[in-house]
Amino acid sequence: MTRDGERSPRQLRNLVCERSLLHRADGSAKFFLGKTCVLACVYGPTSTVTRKENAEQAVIEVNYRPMAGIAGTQERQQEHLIRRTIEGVVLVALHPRACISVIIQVLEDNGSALACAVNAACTALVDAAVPMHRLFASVCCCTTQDGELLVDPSSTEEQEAAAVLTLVYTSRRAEVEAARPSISSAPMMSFSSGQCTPQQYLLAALAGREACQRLADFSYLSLHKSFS
Amino acid sequence: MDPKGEVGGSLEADAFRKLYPHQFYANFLAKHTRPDGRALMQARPVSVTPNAVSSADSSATAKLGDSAAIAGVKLEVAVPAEESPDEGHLAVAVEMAPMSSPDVRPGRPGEAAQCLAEQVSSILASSDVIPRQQLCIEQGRACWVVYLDIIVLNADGSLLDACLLAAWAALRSLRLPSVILTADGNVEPCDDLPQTSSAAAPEGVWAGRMLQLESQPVAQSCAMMGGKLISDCTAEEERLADTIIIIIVDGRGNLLGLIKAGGTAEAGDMIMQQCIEAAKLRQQDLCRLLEDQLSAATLS
Repeated sequence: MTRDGERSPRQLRNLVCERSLLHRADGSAKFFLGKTCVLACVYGPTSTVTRKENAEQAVIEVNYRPMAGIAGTQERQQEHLIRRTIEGVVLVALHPRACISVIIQVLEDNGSALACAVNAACTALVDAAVPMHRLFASVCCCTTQDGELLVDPSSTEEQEAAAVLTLVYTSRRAEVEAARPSISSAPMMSFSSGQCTPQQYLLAALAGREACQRLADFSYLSLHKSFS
Repeated sequence: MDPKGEVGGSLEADAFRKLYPHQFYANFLAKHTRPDGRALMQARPVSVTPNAVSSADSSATAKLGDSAAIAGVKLEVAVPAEESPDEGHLAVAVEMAPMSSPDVRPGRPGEAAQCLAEQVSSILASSDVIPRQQLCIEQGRACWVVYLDIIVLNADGSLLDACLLAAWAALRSLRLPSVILTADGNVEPCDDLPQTSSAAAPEGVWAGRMLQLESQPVAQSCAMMGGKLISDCTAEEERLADTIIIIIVDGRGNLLGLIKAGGTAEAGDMIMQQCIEAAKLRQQDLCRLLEDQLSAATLS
Protein backbone atom coordinates (compact mmCIF):
# COMPACT_ATOMS: atom_id res chain seq x y z
CA MET A 1 0.00 0.00 0.00
CA THR A 2 1.29 3.47 -0.79
CA ARG A 3 0.44 6.73 0.92
CA ASP A 4 -0.08 10.26 -0.45
CA GLY A 5 3.43 10.87 -1.73
CA GLU A 6 4.05 7.29 -2.88
CA ARG A 7 5.47 6.47 0.52
CA SER A 8 5.52 3.04 2.07
CA PRO A 9 3.89 2.73 5.54
CA ARG A 10 7.22 2.75 7.39
CA GLN A 11 8.91 5.40 5.28
CA LEU A 12 9.94 8.78 6.67
CA ARG A 13 9.42 11.93 4.65
CA ASN A 14 12.33 14.02 3.40
CA LEU A 15 14.50 15.24 6.25
CA VAL A 16 16.19 18.62 6.20
CA CYS A 17 18.08 20.20 9.08
CA GLU A 18 19.56 23.70 9.16
CA ARG A 19 21.65 25.09 11.97
CA SER A 20 22.68 28.55 13.27
CA LEU A 21 20.03 30.59 11.53
CA LEU A 22 19.44 33.26 14.17
CA HIS A 23 22.51 35.32 15.04
CA ARG A 24 21.18 36.72 18.35
CA ALA A 25 20.36 33.33 19.84
CA ASP A 26 22.97 31.07 21.44
CA GLY A 27 21.81 28.26 19.23
CA SER A 28 19.08 27.73 16.68
CA ALA A 29 17.93 25.11 14.23
CA LYS A 30 15.22 24.47 11.70
CA PHE A 31 14.00 20.95 11.14
CA PHE A 32 11.83 19.71 8.30
CA LEU A 33 9.84 16.48 8.17
CA GLY A 34 8.51 16.73 4.65
CA LYS A 35 6.41 19.91 4.68
CA THR A 36 6.28 20.12 8.48
CA CYS A 37 8.78 22.72 9.60
CA VAL A 38 9.77 23.82 13.10
CA LEU A 39 12.24 26.47 14.19
CA ALA A 40 13.88 26.11 17.61
CA CYS A 41 16.17 28.52 19.37
CA VAL A 42 18.10 28.22 22.62
CA TYR A 43 19.26 30.89 25.05
CA GLY A 44 21.51 29.89 27.86
CA PRO A 45 22.80 28.92 30.25
CA THR A 46 21.78 32.37 31.39
CA SER A 47 20.44 33.96 34.55
CA THR A 48 16.78 33.92 35.49
CA VAL A 49 14.48 35.49 38.06
CA THR A 50 15.21 34.40 41.63
CA ARG A 51 11.81 32.78 42.06
CA LYS A 52 12.48 30.27 39.26
CA GLU A 53 16.11 29.39 39.87
CA ASN A 54 17.24 26.15 41.44
CA ALA A 55 20.29 26.16 43.71
CA GLU A 56 21.37 22.70 42.60
CA GLN A 57 20.75 22.55 38.88
CA ALA A 58 19.90 24.50 35.77
CA VAL A 59 16.25 25.12 35.06
CA ILE A 60 14.92 24.30 31.60
CA GLU A 61 12.23 26.50 30.15
CA VAL A 62 10.35 25.57 27.02
CA ASN A 63 8.13 27.91 25.09
CA TYR A 64 6.08 26.26 22.32
CA ARG A 65 4.43 28.59 19.83
CA PRO A 66 1.79 27.29 17.45
CA MET A 67 1.78 28.18 13.76
CA ALA A 68 -1.07 30.65 14.25
CA GLY A 69 -3.00 32.04 17.18
CA ILE A 70 -2.11 31.96 20.84
CA ALA A 71 -0.82 28.97 22.77
CA GLY A 72 -3.53 26.95 24.53
CA THR A 73 -3.65 23.89 26.77
CA GLN A 74 -2.39 21.62 24.00
CA GLU A 75 0.75 23.71 23.58
CA ARG A 76 1.33 23.64 27.35
CA GLN A 77 1.19 19.86 27.17
CA GLN A 78 3.78 19.85 24.35
CA GLU A 79 5.97 22.21 26.38
CA HIS A 80 5.78 19.86 29.34
CA LEU A 81 6.71 16.82 27.24
CA ILE A 82 9.63 18.58 25.54
CA ARG A 83 10.88 20.06 28.81
CA ARG A 84 10.91 16.70 30.59
CA THR A 85 12.72 15.17 27.60
CA ILE A 86 15.42 17.85 27.62
CA GLU A 87 15.79 17.59 31.41
CA GLY A 88 16.60 13.92 30.96
CA VAL A 89 19.62 14.49 28.69
CA VAL A 90 21.08 17.91 29.54
CA LEU A 91 23.71 17.88 32.29
CA VAL A 92 21.66 20.24 34.44
CA ALA A 93 23.88 19.85 37.50
CA LEU A 94 26.71 21.70 35.69
CA HIS A 95 24.87 25.02 35.76
CA PRO A 96 23.23 25.63 39.13
CA ARG A 97 20.97 28.71 39.34
CA ALA A 98 21.09 29.09 35.56
CA CYS A 99 18.29 28.82 33.06
CA ILE A 100 18.32 27.25 29.62
CA SER A 101 15.46 28.57 27.61
CA VAL A 102 14.23 26.80 24.50
CA ILE A 103 11.80 28.57 22.20
CA ILE A 104 10.01 26.53 19.59
CA GLN A 105 8.04 28.04 16.75
CA VAL A 106 6.01 25.83 14.45
CA LEU A 107 6.35 27.29 10.97
CA GLU A 108 4.29 24.74 9.09
CA ASP A 109 2.31 21.81 10.46
CA ASN A 110 1.70 18.96 8.07
CA GLY A 111 1.60 16.26 10.76
CA SER A 112 4.13 15.01 13.35
CA ALA A 113 4.76 18.55 14.60
CA LEU A 114 5.69 17.44 18.13
CA ALA A 115 8.30 14.99 16.82
CA CYS A 116 9.67 17.66 14.49
CA ALA A 117 9.83 20.13 17.41
CA VAL A 118 11.78 17.66 19.56
CA ASN A 119 14.29 17.09 16.73
CA ALA A 120 14.66 20.83 16.16
CA ALA A 121 15.18 21.37 19.91
CA CYS A 122 17.91 18.72 19.99
CA THR A 123 19.81 20.31 17.08
CA ALA A 124 19.41 23.79 18.59
CA LEU A 125 20.81 22.55 21.92
CA VAL A 126 23.82 21.11 20.07
CA ASP A 127 24.21 24.39 18.21
CA ALA A 128 24.16 26.28 21.53
CA ALA A 129 26.82 23.87 22.87
CA VAL A 130 24.70 22.95 25.87
CA PRO A 131 26.36 19.93 27.52
CA MET A 132 24.27 16.79 27.08
CA HIS A 133 25.12 13.17 27.80
CA ARG A 134 22.99 11.87 24.94
CA LEU A 135 21.28 13.22 21.86
CA PHE A 136 17.72 12.32 21.08
CA ALA A 137 15.58 11.63 18.04
CA SER A 138 11.84 11.59 17.76
CA VAL A 139 9.28 10.19 15.36
CA CYS A 140 5.52 10.00 15.30
CA CYS A 141 3.60 6.80 14.49
CA CYS A 142 -0.11 6.29 14.10
CA THR A 143 -2.47 3.35 13.83
CA THR A 144 -5.26 3.76 11.31
CA GLN A 145 -8.88 2.75 11.94
CA ASP A 146 -8.09 -0.56 10.18
CA GLY A 147 -5.21 -1.21 12.56
CA GLU A 148 -2.46 -0.45 10.08
CA LEU A 149 0.72 1.17 11.33
CA LEU A 150 2.01 4.33 9.64
CA VAL A 151 5.30 5.99 10.52
CA ASP A 152 5.68 9.78 10.28
CA PRO A 153 2.03 10.57 9.43
CA SER A 154 0.92 13.67 7.56
CA SER A 155 -1.80 15.84 9.07
CA THR A 156 -4.63 14.09 7.18
CA GLU A 157 -3.32 10.71 8.30
CA GLU A 158 -3.07 12.03 11.87
CA GLN A 159 -6.67 13.26 11.83
CA GLU A 160 -8.02 9.98 10.46
CA ALA A 161 -5.92 7.82 12.80
CA ALA A 162 -7.34 5.85 15.72
CA ALA A 163 -4.28 6.55 17.84
CA VAL A 164 -1.22 8.77 17.47
CA LEU A 165 2.00 7.99 19.29
CA THR A 166 5.06 10.23 19.54
CA LEU A 167 8.27 8.56 20.66
CA VAL A 168 11.69 9.85 21.67
CA TYR A 169 14.71 7.57 21.80
CA THR A 170 18.12 8.73 22.97
CA SER A 171 21.17 8.16 20.83
CA ARG A 172 24.89 8.32 21.41
CA ARG A 173 27.98 8.10 19.30
CA ALA A 174 28.93 4.61 18.22
CA GLU A 175 31.92 3.02 19.92
CA VAL A 176 33.47 2.25 16.55
CA GLU A 177 34.45 5.07 14.23
CA ALA A 178 32.13 5.52 11.22
CA ALA A 179 29.50 3.17 12.63
CA ARG A 180 25.87 4.22 13.07
CA PRO A 181 24.99 6.01 16.29
CA SER A 182 23.63 3.57 18.85
CA ILE A 183 20.12 4.18 20.00
CA SER A 184 18.51 3.38 23.35
CA SER A 185 16.54 0.15 23.55
CA ALA A 186 13.52 1.78 25.18
CA PRO A 187 11.81 5.12 24.61
CA MET A 188 12.64 7.96 26.98
CA MET A 189 9.49 9.83 26.04
CA SER A 190 6.36 8.27 24.73
CA PHE A 191 3.05 9.99 24.39
CA SER A 192 -0.02 8.47 22.83
CA SER A 193 -3.54 9.72 22.43
CA GLY A 194 -6.46 7.92 20.88
CA GLN A 195 -7.51 4.33 21.20
CA CYS A 196 -5.32 1.30 20.48
CA THR A 197 -4.59 -2.11 21.93
CA PRO A 198 -1.46 -2.73 24.04
CA GLN A 199 -0.10 -4.95 21.22
CA GLN A 200 -0.50 -2.13 18.72
CA TYR A 201 1.39 0.15 21.08
CA LEU A 202 4.29 -2.30 21.40
CA LEU A 203 4.45 -2.76 17.61
CA ALA A 204 4.41 1.00 17.10
CA ALA A 205 7.17 1.47 19.66
CA LEU A 206 9.27 -1.07 17.78
CA ALA A 207 8.64 0.55 14.39
CA GLY A 208 9.27 3.94 15.98
CA ARG A 209 12.64 2.76 17.23
CA GLU A 210 13.71 1.72 13.73
CA ALA A 211 12.60 5.08 12.37
CA CYS A 212 14.39 6.91 15.21
CA GLN A 213 17.56 5.04 14.29
CA ARG A 214 17.28 6.36 10.73
CA LEU A 215 16.54 9.84 12.05
CA ALA A 216 19.53 9.69 14.42
CA ASP A 217 21.73 8.59 11.50
CA PHE A 218 20.56 11.61 9.57
CA SER A 219 21.07 14.03 12.48
CA TYR A 220 24.61 12.77 13.05
CA LEU A 221 25.46 13.08 9.39
CA SER A 222 23.94 16.53 9.15
CA LEU A 223 25.66 17.83 12.31
CA HIS A 224 28.95 16.21 11.38
CA LYS A 225 28.92 17.89 7.96
CA SER A 226 27.95 21.30 9.26
CA PHE A 227 30.60 21.29 12.01
CA SER A 228 33.48 20.01 9.93
CA MET B 1 27.46 11.40 53.23
CA ASP B 2 30.51 9.14 53.30
CA PRO B 3 31.74 7.47 50.08
CA LYS B 4 29.85 4.26 50.83
CA GLY B 5 26.63 6.21 50.65
CA GLU B 6 25.80 5.62 54.29
CA VAL B 7 24.85 8.36 56.62
CA GLY B 8 25.58 8.61 60.31
CA GLY B 9 22.99 6.94 62.46
CA SER B 10 22.64 9.94 64.74
CA LEU B 11 20.43 11.82 62.28
CA GLU B 12 16.78 11.73 63.05
CA ALA B 13 14.55 10.14 60.45
CA ASP B 14 12.73 13.36 59.53
CA ALA B 15 15.97 15.29 59.07
CA PHE B 16 17.43 12.43 57.07
CA ARG B 17 14.36 12.40 54.83
CA LYS B 18 14.73 16.12 54.13
CA LEU B 19 18.51 16.10 53.62
CA TYR B 20 19.00 12.89 51.68
CA PRO B 21 15.61 12.13 50.13
CA HIS B 22 16.98 9.78 47.45
CA GLN B 23 18.93 7.75 50.00
CA PHE B 24 15.91 7.71 52.30
CA TYR B 25 13.72 6.26 49.56
CA ALA B 26 16.40 3.86 48.35
CA ASN B 27 16.56 2.32 51.85
CA PHE B 28 12.84 1.61 51.73
CA LEU B 29 12.75 0.43 48.12
CA ALA B 30 15.58 -2.02 48.79
CA LYS B 31 13.24 -3.69 51.28
CA HIS B 32 10.32 -3.64 48.77
CA THR B 33 8.32 -1.17 50.76
CA ARG B 34 7.62 2.56 50.86
CA PRO B 35 7.77 5.14 53.66
CA ASP B 36 3.97 5.15 54.04
CA GLY B 37 3.95 1.37 54.53
CA ARG B 38 2.67 0.43 51.08
CA ALA B 39 4.07 -2.31 48.89
CA LEU B 40 5.66 -1.11 45.64
CA MET B 41 2.61 -1.62 43.43
CA GLN B 42 0.01 -1.00 46.11
CA ALA B 43 -2.36 1.92 45.59
CA ARG B 44 -3.60 4.27 48.27
CA PRO B 45 -7.16 3.91 49.53
CA VAL B 46 -9.68 5.35 47.06
CA SER B 47 -13.01 6.91 47.77
CA VAL B 48 -15.48 8.46 45.39
CA THR B 49 -18.63 10.34 46.33
CA PRO B 50 -21.20 11.16 43.68
CA ASN B 51 -23.38 14.28 43.96
CA ALA B 52 -21.08 16.29 46.17
CA VAL B 53 -22.38 19.74 45.14
CA SER B 54 -26.12 20.26 44.89
CA SER B 55 -25.88 23.43 42.77
CA ALA B 56 -24.24 21.60 39.85
CA ASP B 57 -26.12 19.43 37.34
CA SER B 58 -23.97 16.57 38.55
CA SER B 59 -20.78 16.34 40.52
CA ALA B 60 -18.45 14.00 42.33
CA THR B 61 -15.41 14.05 44.56
CA ALA B 62 -12.60 11.57 44.29
CA LYS B 63 -9.89 10.93 46.85
CA LEU B 64 -6.75 8.90 46.32
CA GLY B 65 -4.98 8.88 49.63
CA ASP B 66 -4.50 12.58 50.33
CA SER B 67 -5.01 13.67 46.71
CA ALA B 68 -8.48 15.05 46.26
CA ALA B 69 -10.36 16.46 43.30
CA ILE B 70 -13.92 17.60 42.80
CA ALA B 71 -15.65 17.62 39.43
CA GLY B 72 -18.82 19.48 38.59
CA VAL B 73 -20.92 19.52 35.45
CA LYS B 74 -22.94 22.47 34.28
CA LEU B 75 -25.25 22.20 31.28
CA GLU B 76 -26.09 24.86 28.77
CA VAL B 77 -28.01 24.84 25.52
CA ALA B 78 -26.27 26.10 22.38
CA VAL B 79 -26.54 25.92 18.63
CA PRO B 80 -24.44 23.04 17.26
CA ALA B 81 -21.45 23.78 15.07
CA GLU B 82 -22.09 23.90 11.31
CA GLU B 83 -19.73 21.02 10.55
CA SER B 84 -21.31 18.70 13.11
CA PRO B 85 -25.01 19.62 13.36
CA ASP B 86 -25.94 16.49 15.35
CA GLU B 87 -23.30 16.75 18.07
CA GLY B 88 -22.98 18.63 21.35
CA HIS B 89 -19.80 19.88 22.99
CA LEU B 90 -17.76 19.06 26.04
CA ALA B 91 -15.57 21.76 27.60
CA VAL B 92 -13.10 20.69 30.26
CA ALA B 93 -11.35 23.05 32.67
CA VAL B 94 -9.04 22.09 35.50
CA GLU B 95 -8.08 24.41 38.29
CA MET B 96 -5.55 23.75 40.98
CA ALA B 97 -6.71 25.49 44.14
CA PRO B 98 -3.92 27.57 45.73
CA MET B 99 -4.37 25.56 48.92
CA SER B 100 -3.70 22.30 47.07
CA SER B 101 0.09 22.51 47.07
CA PRO B 102 2.87 24.98 48.03
CA ASP B 103 3.94 25.08 44.36
CA VAL B 104 0.63 26.47 43.16
CA ARG B 105 0.16 30.22 43.09
CA PRO B 106 -3.15 31.95 42.75
CA GLY B 107 -3.85 33.48 39.38
CA ARG B 108 -3.60 32.07 35.91
CA PRO B 109 -3.60 28.27 35.73
CA GLY B 110 -0.09 26.90 35.70
CA GLU B 111 1.44 24.26 33.50
CA ALA B 112 0.27 21.38 35.68
CA ALA B 113 -3.37 22.49 35.60
CA GLN B 114 -3.35 23.12 31.86
CA CYS B 115 -1.73 19.75 31.18
CA LEU B 116 -4.38 18.03 33.29
CA ALA B 117 -7.16 19.82 31.42
CA GLU B 118 -5.67 18.81 28.09
CA GLN B 119 -5.21 15.20 29.18
CA VAL B 120 -8.73 14.82 30.59
CA SER B 121 -10.37 16.42 27.57
CA SER B 122 -8.26 14.40 25.15
CA ILE B 123 -9.18 11.15 26.95
CA LEU B 124 -12.88 11.98 26.98
CA ALA B 125 -12.82 13.11 23.34
CA SER B 126 -10.56 10.64 21.59
CA SER B 127 -12.06 7.46 22.93
CA ASP B 128 -15.68 8.41 22.32
CA VAL B 129 -16.35 7.91 26.00
CA ILE B 130 -19.27 10.25 25.49
CA PRO B 131 -20.94 9.79 22.11
CA ARG B 132 -21.54 13.40 21.09
CA GLN B 133 -24.79 12.52 19.32
CA GLN B 134 -26.35 11.97 22.74
CA LEU B 135 -25.92 15.66 23.42
CA CYS B 136 -27.99 16.67 20.40
CA ILE B 137 -31.45 18.05 21.15
CA GLU B 138 -32.49 18.83 17.61
CA GLN B 139 -30.27 18.55 14.60
CA GLY B 140 -28.82 21.87 13.54
CA ARG B 141 -30.89 23.81 16.08
CA ALA B 142 -30.00 22.94 19.65
CA CYS B 143 -27.51 20.81 21.54
CA TRP B 144 -26.17 20.49 25.05
CA VAL B 145 -22.84 21.99 26.04
CA VAL B 146 -21.35 20.11 28.97
CA TYR B 147 -19.01 22.24 31.05
CA LEU B 148 -16.89 19.91 33.11
CA ASP B 149 -14.97 21.82 35.78
CA ILE B 150 -12.46 19.99 37.92
CA ILE B 151 -10.85 21.55 40.98
CA VAL B 152 -7.86 19.91 42.59
CA LEU B 153 -8.26 20.42 46.32
CA ASN B 154 -5.18 18.61 47.51
CA ALA B 155 -2.30 17.82 45.16
CA ASP B 156 -0.51 14.83 46.61
CA GLY B 157 0.52 13.06 43.42
CA SER B 158 -1.27 10.97 40.76
CA LEU B 159 -3.48 13.92 39.95
CA LEU B 160 -4.67 12.67 36.57
CA ASP B 161 -5.94 9.51 38.26
CA ALA B 162 -7.96 11.56 40.75
CA CYS B 163 -9.23 14.10 38.20
CA LEU B 164 -10.30 11.46 35.72
CA LEU B 165 -12.06 9.43 38.42
CA ALA B 166 -13.96 12.52 39.60
CA ALA B 167 -14.83 13.45 36.01
CA TRP B 168 -16.01 9.95 35.19
CA ALA B 169 -18.15 9.74 38.35
CA ALA B 170 -19.70 13.15 37.65
CA LEU B 171 -20.51 12.31 34.02
CA ARG B 172 -21.76 8.85 35.01
CA SER B 173 -24.40 10.39 37.26
CA LEU B 174 -25.34 13.16 34.83
CA ARG B 175 -28.97 13.39 33.86
CA LEU B 176 -29.83 15.59 30.90
CA PRO B 177 -33.09 17.35 31.85
CA SER B 178 -36.27 17.41 29.77
CA VAL B 179 -36.75 20.49 27.62
CA ILE B 180 -39.41 21.87 25.30
CA LEU B 181 -38.49 23.16 21.89
CA THR B 182 -40.83 26.05 21.21
CA ALA B 183 -42.03 26.96 17.74
CA ASP B 184 -39.88 30.10 17.64
CA GLY B 185 -36.72 28.06 18.24
CA ASN B 186 -36.28 28.63 21.98
CA VAL B 187 -35.45 25.86 24.38
CA GLU B 188 -37.27 26.00 27.70
CA PRO B 189 -36.99 23.71 30.68
CA CYS B 190 -39.94 21.52 31.47
CA ASP B 191 -40.88 19.08 34.20
CA ASP B 192 -39.65 15.57 33.79
CA LEU B 193 -42.18 13.16 32.43
CA PRO B 194 -43.39 10.65 34.98
CA GLN B 195 -41.11 7.64 34.85
CA THR B 196 -44.01 5.20 34.74
CA SER B 197 -45.81 6.63 31.71
CA SER B 198 -45.13 4.45 28.73
CA ALA B 199 -46.74 6.92 26.32
CA ALA B 200 -44.48 8.67 23.83
CA ALA B 201 -43.33 12.16 24.69
CA PRO B 202 -45.65 14.94 23.52
CA GLU B 203 -44.75 16.94 20.44
CA GLY B 204 -41.78 19.30 20.92
CA VAL B 205 -40.65 17.77 24.19
CA TRP B 206 -37.15 16.37 24.42
CA ALA B 207 -37.37 13.73 27.13
CA GLY B 208 -34.71 13.87 29.84
CA ARG B 209 -32.31 10.94 30.07
CA MET B 210 -29.17 9.73 31.74
CA LEU B 211 -25.97 10.30 29.81
CA GLN B 212 -24.74 6.92 28.59
CA LEU B 213 -20.98 6.46 28.71
CA GLU B 214 -19.51 4.07 26.16
CA SER B 215 -16.47 3.12 28.19
CA GLN B 216 -14.99 3.58 31.63
CA PRO B 217 -11.64 5.36 31.38
CA VAL B 218 -9.25 4.99 34.30
CA ALA B 219 -5.77 6.45 34.62
CA GLN B 220 -3.00 4.77 36.55
CA SER B 221 0.20 6.63 37.40
CA CYS B 222 3.35 4.65 37.98
CA ALA B 223 6.86 5.90 38.61
CA MET B 224 10.30 4.47 38.22
CA MET B 225 12.62 5.15 41.09
CA GLY B 226 16.06 3.60 41.29
CA GLY B 227 15.11 0.92 38.75
CA LYS B 228 11.98 -0.09 40.66
CA LEU B 229 8.44 0.46 39.55
CA ILE B 230 5.99 1.93 42.05
CA SER B 231 2.35 2.75 41.48
CA ASP B 232 0.08 5.56 42.66
CA CYS B 233 2.88 7.87 43.82
CA THR B 234 2.58 10.73 46.26
CA ALA B 235 3.81 14.23 45.38
CA GLU B 236 7.11 13.56 47.15
CA GLU B 237 7.63 10.34 45.21
CA GLU B 238 6.79 12.08 41.92
CA ARG B 239 9.39 14.74 42.65
CA LEU B 240 12.10 12.16 43.31
CA ALA B 241 11.12 9.70 40.58
CA ASP B 242 13.33 9.13 37.55
CA THR B 243 10.31 9.07 35.31
CA ILE B 244 6.53 8.93 35.55
CA ILE B 245 4.39 6.68 33.38
CA ILE B 246 0.66 7.28 33.16
CA ILE B 247 -1.50 4.64 31.48
CA ILE B 248 -5.15 5.23 30.64
CA VAL B 249 -7.25 2.16 29.86
CA ASP B 250 -10.93 1.47 29.28
CA GLY B 251 -13.05 -1.49 30.31
CA ARG B 252 -12.27 -3.45 27.13
CA GLY B 253 -8.54 -3.52 27.79
CA ASN B 254 -7.74 -0.86 25.18
CA LEU B 255 -5.19 1.86 25.75
CA LEU B 256 -6.77 5.31 25.66
CA GLY B 257 -3.51 7.05 26.30
CA LEU B 258 -0.01 6.61 27.49
CA ILE B 259 2.10 9.43 28.83
CA LYS B 260 5.72 8.99 29.65
CA ALA B 261 7.16 12.46 29.69
CA GLY B 262 10.94 12.24 29.48
CA GLY B 263 12.88 11.96 32.71
CA THR B 264 16.14 10.13 33.20
CA ALA B 265 14.86 6.53 33.02
CA GLU B 266 13.77 4.65 29.94
CA ALA B 267 10.79 2.34 30.03
CA GLY B 268 11.08 -0.85 28.01
CA ASP B 269 8.32 -3.14 26.86
CA MET B 270 8.39 -5.17 30.08
CA ILE B 271 7.87 -2.09 32.25
CA MET B 272 5.11 -0.81 29.98
CA GLN B 273 3.33 -4.16 30.04
CA GLN B 274 3.57 -4.24 33.83
CA CYS B 275 2.03 -0.76 33.98
CA ILE B 276 -0.72 -1.70 31.54
CA GLU B 277 -1.62 -4.83 33.54
CA ALA B 278 -1.69 -2.78 36.74
CA ALA B 279 -3.94 -0.23 35.03
CA LYS B 280 -6.36 -2.96 33.87
CA LEU B 281 -6.70 -4.33 37.40
CA ARG B 282 -7.16 -0.82 38.72
CA GLN B 283 -9.86 -0.16 36.14
CA GLN B 284 -11.86 -3.18 37.35
CA ASP B 285 -11.48 -2.18 41.01
CA LEU B 286 -12.57 1.40 40.42
CA CYS B 287 -15.47 0.30 38.19
CA ARG B 288 -16.80 -1.87 40.99
CA LEU B 289 -16.26 0.86 43.60
CA LEU B 290 -18.07 3.49 41.54
CA GLU B 291 -21.05 1.27 40.72
CA ASP B 292 -21.40 0.42 44.43
CA GLN B 293 -21.30 4.10 45.36
CA LEU B 294 -23.83 5.04 42.68
CA SER B 295 -26.29 2.33 43.64
CA ALA B 296 -25.91 3.27 47.32
CA ALA B 297 -26.60 6.91 46.42
CA THR B 298 -29.78 6.08 44.48
CA LEU B 299 -31.09 3.82 47.26
CA SER B 300 -30.67 6.40 50.00
